Amino acid sequence: MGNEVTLVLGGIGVKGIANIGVFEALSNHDVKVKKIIAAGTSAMVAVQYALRKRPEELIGLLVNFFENNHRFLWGLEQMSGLFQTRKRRIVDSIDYFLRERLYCRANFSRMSVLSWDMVDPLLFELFGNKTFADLEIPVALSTIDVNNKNLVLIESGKLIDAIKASIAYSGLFPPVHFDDRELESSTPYCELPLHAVGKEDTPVLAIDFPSAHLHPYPRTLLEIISRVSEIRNQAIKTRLLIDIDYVIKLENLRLYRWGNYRRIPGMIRRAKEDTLRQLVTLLDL
Amino acid sequence: MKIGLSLGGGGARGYAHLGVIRALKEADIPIDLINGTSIGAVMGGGYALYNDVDKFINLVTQVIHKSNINYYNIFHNHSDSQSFLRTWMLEAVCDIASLRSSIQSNRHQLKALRAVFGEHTFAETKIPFSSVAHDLISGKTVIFKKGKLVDGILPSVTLPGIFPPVRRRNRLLVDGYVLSNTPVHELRMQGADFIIAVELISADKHTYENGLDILNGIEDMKQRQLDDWQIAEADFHIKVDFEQYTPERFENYENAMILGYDTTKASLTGLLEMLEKNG
Repeated sequence: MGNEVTLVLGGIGVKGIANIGVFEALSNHDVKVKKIIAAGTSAMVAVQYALRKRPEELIGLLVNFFENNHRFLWGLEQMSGLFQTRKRRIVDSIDYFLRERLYCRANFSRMSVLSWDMVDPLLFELFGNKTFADLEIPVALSTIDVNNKNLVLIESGKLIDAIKASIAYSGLFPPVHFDDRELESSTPYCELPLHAVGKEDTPVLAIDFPSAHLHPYPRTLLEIISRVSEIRNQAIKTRLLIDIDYVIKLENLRLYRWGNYRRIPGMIRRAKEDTLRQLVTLLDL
Repeated sequence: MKIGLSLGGGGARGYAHLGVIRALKEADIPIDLINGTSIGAVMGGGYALYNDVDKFINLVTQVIHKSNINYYNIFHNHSDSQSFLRTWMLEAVCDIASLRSSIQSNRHQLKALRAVFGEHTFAETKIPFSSVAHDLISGKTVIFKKGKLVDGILPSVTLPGIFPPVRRRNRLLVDGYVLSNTPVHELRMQGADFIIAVELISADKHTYENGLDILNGIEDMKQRQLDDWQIAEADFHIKVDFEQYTPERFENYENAMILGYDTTKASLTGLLEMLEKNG
């Protein structure tokens, strides 16, 4: 691997923030990034890096944000518990039933579970009114146009809106209006925006979060639908990864849940360890 | 050269497959292997068993009139279902989502399949045939080519969420459309040299009203992508394009058959050229 790469970042939910550890590891080995293609919450980390700010500065702000909003966000953390095997105790079963029902009701009856009002102040504090023109490294953020179901790559305009579109996971956040389009995150389609990689981007380094096989034995209707979605995600990602030059698999993050924001510092640490270890082989050190 | 016919899924649009087969037969194009997913498995299996399009059409028509095989795909926001009924049903689904594995039972489907295939087995088919399903536990595509036809085709028509998955040993089987809606790759693995893929599509009128609709739209995108990869492996592609046709209603089968027939007739020159080129 050369010392200048195009970086492809993804990760569902708060897992994307773990890419902070990847940047730390890359700078330890003096790997230069010529372009970043990101999707999901990794968009925040990518933009922070491209603004030549230290991605680690995000950690404190994000931890504070989640702690301050815990009373609103507990559902997020609980909902990711949906993807656990059914427990046997009666109390846990009732809890499980209520959580599934919460998720189901929220998605069936309205556009999203969360609103942007909560996240806007944080994003404004981080990125203000900056635009893509302020970035020192080109960044492309992957999204989906929900009206025509096309993948859309954002490379210009206001950073805050582009980041919102990139992290707007369907059902959790409402679509973001950007350039006369209604955009949502592309992570439900493929958690890594590999579809956006072009020939001119080589060499490409993709940071892959291996799937945790959330529903190995699906029993309920919701689990079955989620399992189908998961299998398709995996199939698309596997196929697209074939054409990528270098891949770092963050195996140590496999079992972290996408909504478990209390574990962000641990995820970042593990991502750094995984990346450092695999970079040694890739750089032939 | 072995010519294979790969028939795609698409609910009630699947009657188009019979029109396609009729047109191919009229053009004297031999079919040496057939496989199919979902309704493609039903139509492919029926033709492979009877090797007589008219006989099979008569049988299927009788079954449609006798049994109730329509279903309501609550997960899709079709233009004709944006109503109080859908909202009410969605709310009802919330209550069963964590208690049941599906919205309705598959007894009508099973009854219809038994009426069409009886006790016949894969070994009795006049043209080698296989049906394609998907195992949710291993995450892999499963090919049925032995045993009773009903047992092999039932998992292939089990739309996840709508019908309960079929349990077999350590497998949890559902419709093969999860990864292989038009199972070209699977047919290639079974030795077909020249594959004709038949894809059934409808004009996309997906609108969204809630988070579920958006997620469904993205699932459609994924299926589209996976299907494109499958079809790229085919030697010839017949795309039957339905302007207005919902995959859940099985009454309008005659129009579907005519559309399949006409589409294939229009593609015959190209197909014959390709066949000649490939020897």
